[in-house]
Amino acid sequence: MLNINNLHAEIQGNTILKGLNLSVKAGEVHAIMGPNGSGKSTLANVLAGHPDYQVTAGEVIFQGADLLGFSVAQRACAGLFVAFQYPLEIPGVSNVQFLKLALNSQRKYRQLSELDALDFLQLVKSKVQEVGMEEELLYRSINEGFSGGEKKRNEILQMLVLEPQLAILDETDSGLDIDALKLVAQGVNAFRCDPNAGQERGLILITHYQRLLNFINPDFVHILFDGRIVKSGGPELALALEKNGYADLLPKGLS
Amino acid sequence: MNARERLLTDFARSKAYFPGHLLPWLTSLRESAIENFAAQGFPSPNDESWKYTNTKKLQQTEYCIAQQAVIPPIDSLAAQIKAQQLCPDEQRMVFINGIYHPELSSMSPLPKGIILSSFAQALQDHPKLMASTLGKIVNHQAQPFSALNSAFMSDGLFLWAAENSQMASPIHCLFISTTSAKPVVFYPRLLIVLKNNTPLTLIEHYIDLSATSFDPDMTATKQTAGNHHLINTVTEIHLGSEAHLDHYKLQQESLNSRHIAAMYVQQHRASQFTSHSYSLGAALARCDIQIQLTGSQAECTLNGVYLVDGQQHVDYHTQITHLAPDCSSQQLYKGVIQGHARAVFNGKVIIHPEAQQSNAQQLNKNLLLSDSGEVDTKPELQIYADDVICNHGATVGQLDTQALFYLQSRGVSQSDAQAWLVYGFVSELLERINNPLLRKFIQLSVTAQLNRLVGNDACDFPVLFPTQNGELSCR
Ligand SMILES: Nc1ncnc2c1ncn2[C@@H]1O[C@H](COP(=O)(O)OP(=O)(O)O)[C@@H](O)[C@H]1O
Ligand SMILES: [Mg+2]
Repeated sequence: MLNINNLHAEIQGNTILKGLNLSVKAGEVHAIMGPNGSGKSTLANVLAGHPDYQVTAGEVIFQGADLLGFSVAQRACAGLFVAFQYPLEIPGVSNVQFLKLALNSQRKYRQLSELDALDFLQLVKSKVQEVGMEEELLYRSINEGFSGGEKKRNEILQMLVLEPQLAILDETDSGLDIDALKLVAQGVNAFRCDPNAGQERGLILITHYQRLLNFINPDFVHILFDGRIVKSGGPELALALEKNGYADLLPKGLS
Repeated sequence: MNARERLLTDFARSKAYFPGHLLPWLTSLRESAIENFAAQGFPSPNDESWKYTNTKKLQQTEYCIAQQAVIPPIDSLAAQIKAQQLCPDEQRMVFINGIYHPELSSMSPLPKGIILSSFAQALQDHPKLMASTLGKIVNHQAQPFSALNSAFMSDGLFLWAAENSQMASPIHCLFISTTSAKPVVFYPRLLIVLKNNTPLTLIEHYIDLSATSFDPDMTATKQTAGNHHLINTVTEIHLGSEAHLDHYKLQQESLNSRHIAAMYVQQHRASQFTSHSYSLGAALARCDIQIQLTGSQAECTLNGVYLVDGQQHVDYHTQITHLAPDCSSQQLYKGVIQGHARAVFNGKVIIHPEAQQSNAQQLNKNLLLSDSGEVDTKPELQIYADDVICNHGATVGQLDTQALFYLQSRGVSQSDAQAWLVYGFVSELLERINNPLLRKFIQLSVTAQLNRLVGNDACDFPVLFPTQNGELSCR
């Protein structure tokens, strides 16, 4: 469903992604690990279409379409979702109203009927329970005054409501305590294995920690370093990383 | 003849016909006001407080006194007026071109101690009460437009609340301007006196109706063919000890209108004054708000929103004078500027030596949506007491691109994302409106104007904006 070929991207003249290749098929879970500053969030932002980043070379095919030719909103409507590492606070815009607008914008794009307030609220409330979020947070401004963990849960709530085809979770696990992590992981697993989904969903987990991968089992683990994927393997790669750090895994001379 | 001479001639010609022309105290008030105007003339750009607001076009227009305006058939107005109802229980006073029309108004019996009347009627019924207050706190020396209003005022509102009187229903003063063959000017005058311990809600609401086309969805900034009119309005508010006034002003006139308004407030001990001011329409809107905190523990809160586009020009000049200890003043004004529009904000706070323990907060935030819009904002603090807390701030910013990205990353279109962010910018002020019906009415007016500002299709846009939990809430 996602094919990234030779992706190069820069921000403010600094080249961050330097020829990244990655292929994700429907139903697969990929974990991307790598030291701070290696370009993991850059990848997520570039895929979402963040205007601060320029793609200088390469291509991204999502569900058969040229993703890079899409606007930010079109990418979301086409079924791509990024749970951001640092979700923004947006004062004055109500969380629940925004969620309704987002869902109905996407439904409109897909030529589905819009949900009315009642149906929508019912849906949201069930998802709120799933991620263990305080319902009161729905009625606040987006992320305003939320704790780190609440912001992460809110991202997952958005994912569960919007039901994308491919979700990229950028360090969603950091900032969550172990109980919250379990709940969120359960939610993500349910989302992934939703029998009602038309197509099996894809998942990219950006993380530093094995502990998330204990709850959501990856099919593939990749190591991102200096803007490239330098090593790929199965779950054992993450375990090795946990034990020995990056030093042994990175190509010689790079660490 | 220049504009000043023309007005002096007008005054000489019409003074025998003004309401209350047989009341000597009123005649001398008018005479002294016109002399004050004659001495000043119209403000010039050299005048510091009119530096950014040019009145040249206004002076060049030969406005005549309102009688010549065409009043549409009363029947056709009734439905229009009904659509402007804010609350079902309101006392609604309707003014057409500045003149009170009882047949269009909707008044229910008043509680004991309350006098609510048109200004002209009150000059007949309550001249003594009026003589004791009218014009007493209005600045004629340095406010030429206020001087003109005092000279020419002919109708408006008189509201008197005796000590401990109670009135729950809001008073809605609906000022409707109609088109006319020639440019016209009106001078509404509102005199509000709340004696000790009286709470009240008052709404000043300004709209336009064209005599020829009754537009059901009256849009604030629609330019209709027709002549310009000028509203020069003055509101005087006297608040006794522990009196409490919630004052709303909703200005939704068309671009045919120029709106010059002054509000003078005097607050005695522990009185509270809250102003919610929404300036959405008019080609030119100037508001001078002057508040004197003369009794200790008096509090005033000024909330303002202005949303301008095209060639609109809006100018708020506030001046709060702390004269007694333990008073507080809070100001928050937010503006959104699109197109070639221009916004001016000047907030002056004066703290006299005896006003120790004053708390004065002032903040003006502007969101500039275009490169050609302009904002001039200036705080002015004059502090002569040492034990005070004063803060002021002024910002001019653009839409946050990170926030725009975040909203769009969930599938929201760019224009919706812009509209919602702009709405988010002003929504904290809407949330300060306690009365839910009033909040809803103003919210719809605000969102309609915001849609216009961001170029969103007003009809298609799902204007289901965040309120408290209200709209969506089924909990
Ligand atoms: N706004 C920016 N301007 C310049 N450099 C940036 C900016 N944002 C991130 N970078 C740089 O891009 C590199 C990759 O960052 P990022 O993708 O956030 O790494 P990771 O998520 O892997 O920790 C870092 O060296 C960082 O300093
Ligand atoms: Mg990162």
